[in-house]
Amino acid sequence: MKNSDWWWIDYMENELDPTTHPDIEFLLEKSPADREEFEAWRLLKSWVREVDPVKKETVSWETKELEKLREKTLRALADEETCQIGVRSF
Amino acid sequence: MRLEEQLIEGVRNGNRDDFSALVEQYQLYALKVAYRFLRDREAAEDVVQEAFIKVYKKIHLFEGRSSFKSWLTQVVLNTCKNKVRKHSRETLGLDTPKLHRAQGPEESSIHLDIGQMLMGEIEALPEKQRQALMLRVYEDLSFKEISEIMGSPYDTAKANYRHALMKLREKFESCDLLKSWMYETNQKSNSWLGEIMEADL
Repeated sequence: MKNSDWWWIDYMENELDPTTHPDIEFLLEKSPADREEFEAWRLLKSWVREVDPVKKETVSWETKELEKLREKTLRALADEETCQIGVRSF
Repeated sequence: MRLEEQLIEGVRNGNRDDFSALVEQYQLYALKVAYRFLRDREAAEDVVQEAFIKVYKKIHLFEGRSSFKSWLTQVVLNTCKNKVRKHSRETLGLDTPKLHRAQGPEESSIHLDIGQMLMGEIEALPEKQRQALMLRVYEDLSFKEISEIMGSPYDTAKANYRHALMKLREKFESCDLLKSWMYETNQKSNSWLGEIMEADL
């Protein structure tokens, strides 16, 4: 891997000093090889985003399910505390 | 509606309504984080329940130096790790998707699910790299937040993310079929890159 990989990734993530941006934009405008290189990183990131297991497998929780889960969590907390009180008093 | 700080303060004082409101606010986010790491809906639900109970009990440990969301994510991820440690991957159905690599030109006609391959490669990344990648790409977290969640310096969080992407690209480039597919896609995208650049840069 080349050092420039880090550089492209940081640029993509907006992690480079903004004063370097004009130079990079100039490079992207004038150099097809650099454009291709940068675009490859952007594509890779977009593919990673595309294969998000939550998105891909369309896992979702309906409002009612979330409500049930929340109630379950509150019950579990109450149960745990009751058990602890029971143990303490025992 | 009470502010998050007020809810947290309420939870510190044992207020169940505030705890319930906090769960309501972050439950779906926590479920998605857990699901991405466990890839099992039921296990994710168990983990999130356990994580919120930990949050309630350990709220005194939350000092507010990081955001509550970062702290919660850390609790969820640690609970995920414990869950995986406790049960074998097989029991939970957490097998890494099998990769079907093309070995030669004769196999290039075999249908390949590129997405599944990529997912497999993501799952095969070292844990810290995978975490940094997922938190950045799927949760849109900043590197500051990622570093707080992972308990690592800012630069380390960023390096983990970079290494994850570099490793994935290396994999793509070492596989001829993927490489040619990447090249073709890149060529297509280059035709409209100018427009993207104008819009994004």
